[in-house]
Amino acid sequence: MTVDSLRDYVRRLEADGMLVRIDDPVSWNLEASAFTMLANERDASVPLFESVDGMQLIGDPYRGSQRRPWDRIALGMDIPSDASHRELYDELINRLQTPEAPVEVSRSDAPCKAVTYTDDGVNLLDFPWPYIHAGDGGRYSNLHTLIAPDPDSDWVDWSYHRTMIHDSRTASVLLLAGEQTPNLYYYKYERRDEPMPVAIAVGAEPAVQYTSVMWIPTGRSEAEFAGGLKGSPVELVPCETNNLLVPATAELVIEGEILPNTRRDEGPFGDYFGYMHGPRRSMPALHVTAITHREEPIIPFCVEGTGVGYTENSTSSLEVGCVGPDATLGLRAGGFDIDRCVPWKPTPRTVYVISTPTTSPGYLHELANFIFTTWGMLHVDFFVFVDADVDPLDQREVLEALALHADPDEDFHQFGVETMPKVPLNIYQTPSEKGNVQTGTSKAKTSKAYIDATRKSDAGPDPVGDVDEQYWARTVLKNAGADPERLPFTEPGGSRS
Amino acid sequence: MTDEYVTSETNLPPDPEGGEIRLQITDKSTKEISSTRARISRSPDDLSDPVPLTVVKGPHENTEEQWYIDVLETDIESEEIDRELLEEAYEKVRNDANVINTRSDDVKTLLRYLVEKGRYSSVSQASRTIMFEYLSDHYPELLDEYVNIKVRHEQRELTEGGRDNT
Repeated sequence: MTVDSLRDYVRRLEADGMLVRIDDPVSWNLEASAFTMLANERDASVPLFESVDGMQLIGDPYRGSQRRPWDRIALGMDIPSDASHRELYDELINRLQTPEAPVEVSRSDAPCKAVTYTDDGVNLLDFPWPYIHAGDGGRYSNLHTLIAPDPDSDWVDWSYHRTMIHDSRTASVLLLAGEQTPNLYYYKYERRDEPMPVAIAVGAEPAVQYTSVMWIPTGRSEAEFAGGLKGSPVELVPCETNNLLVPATAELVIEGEILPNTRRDEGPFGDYFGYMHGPRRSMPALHVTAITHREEPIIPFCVEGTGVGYTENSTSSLEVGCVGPDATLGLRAGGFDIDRCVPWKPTPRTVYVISTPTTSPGYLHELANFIFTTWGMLHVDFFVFVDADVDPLDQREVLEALALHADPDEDFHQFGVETMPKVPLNIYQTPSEKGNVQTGTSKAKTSKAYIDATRKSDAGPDPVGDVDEQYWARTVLKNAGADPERLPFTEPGGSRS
Repeated sequence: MTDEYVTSETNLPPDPEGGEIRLQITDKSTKEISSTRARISRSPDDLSDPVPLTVVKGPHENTEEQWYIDVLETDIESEEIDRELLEEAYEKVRNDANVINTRSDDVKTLLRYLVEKGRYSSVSQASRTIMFEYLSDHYPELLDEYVNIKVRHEQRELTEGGRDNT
């Protein structure tokens, strides 16, 4: 049975004992985020705050359990939450290869149109946007899907950019040039001095949220991939004040336009590296033209910055659970011989592991060049390349490959020395190194790197110990019900014959 | 609106104490962000109706300084600059005399006094300086946009000049 809405997903969480309802009044001002942070750190149930100024907030609804950070992502696609990471990964590959076209429904059939505000009725401050960290520059919507059209084609991008609420009709949106939607804004709309029509779907159904964090190539329909992930078409409905289509079951939709040459303060914000992060930047201003929502909308949010290194909030779980299959398919479509591309669990946005059967130095350099000039340009710092028989989902295997096969003298490659763009949210550059914002990106430049942890020849020395016996023991334990990812040993040399 | 506000040091104009300024502030309770006309000071005694204003400082805004604010007018609309009109004015001035004509015994007397006291080297210089200071304080967005236009024009001239030489 498909999961058609956020509240459908919430019901499933509750049925599986993963949700706690809090009916005592809770403030949006730090209190909801504090409760959520504690739940995240303690691996507790997902908190649904039922009385926040008469509305509802849900804290980090997609945060996975600490040992299995992908489990609730799986639940949102009607995949058993006890599926292994490998099973989820393979199922995502399958689903992304079978996209389904969306269907358009009438306004009367769209739950997100239950209440509609336009003109003078619009007031962002009527909703309990959370103030998440002490020191944030404002209240945020930070778990949503930003929908923006390419002015030169039918393509519509779905993405995910934190948005700071200023007043009743104004917000600022973190648009960093180098990503798809920011590029539409800076290099098309703003250069033509035109506003970019947008919609922000808050609390969209899980498949839509998942697609927003995935690498969907420019020009491809995000809605079709969301339909593939879901296993049935996503229902879309027209906006009230522009021509965009939005997910019909979203909890709340903000319609508006991002104005050309108009900036508002954005940040500081405690973002995913785990630090309060300045400086405040001038980011494009969103002028809100309409708000529509379901009855008693549930507004989801993410306490970014908690559990860094342990995948303890929604976005880090989304990275671990959703990202990887998309990149694998994209790299294969680019002509590369890839087995799996997998984000490194503790730092899922900055480090990736790629297993490939083709490991010649020139090939790996070409592969790195492709990634660092496309989807990996802004966020990814480095890659680890491993042989195809090393499982990138298994951190022990990857560390073993690094220890055994990566020669510090020859296998650590810097790429684009001090010329590559870098997201200014990192903390290893000083504020002055990051510079201020003129065109939405930063002056932050750095190197990228990749590590070649592949074997240099097939004929290595004989391993100590009996590989066959270890493999037999591992198989017996696995068949007896043990989680193979928690077994306290692995095969020498990464071998898995 | 409540009675406590926050602003960033980056929002403060130079020499912010004493005179009227435009200032973006955040309501500490609602987190609503608005532009105001206000007076601010580190001492509440300098203001007629002071309320606490926390000024956050540093690149990550993680240090605080206690100031006070006297809000004179709230929700000042951020003035949208008509860049087309400003461009037209820029072109007209470039192709025309850049003299500003105005007649006033009062103004000229005051300016001459300041010149005689050594504050300015001439009445013309006093006029330019004082008008610029006023424009900077009261129309900061206009000045910012003017600087952008001027830089763009100068860059264009340099580029076109370079082409001519090739």
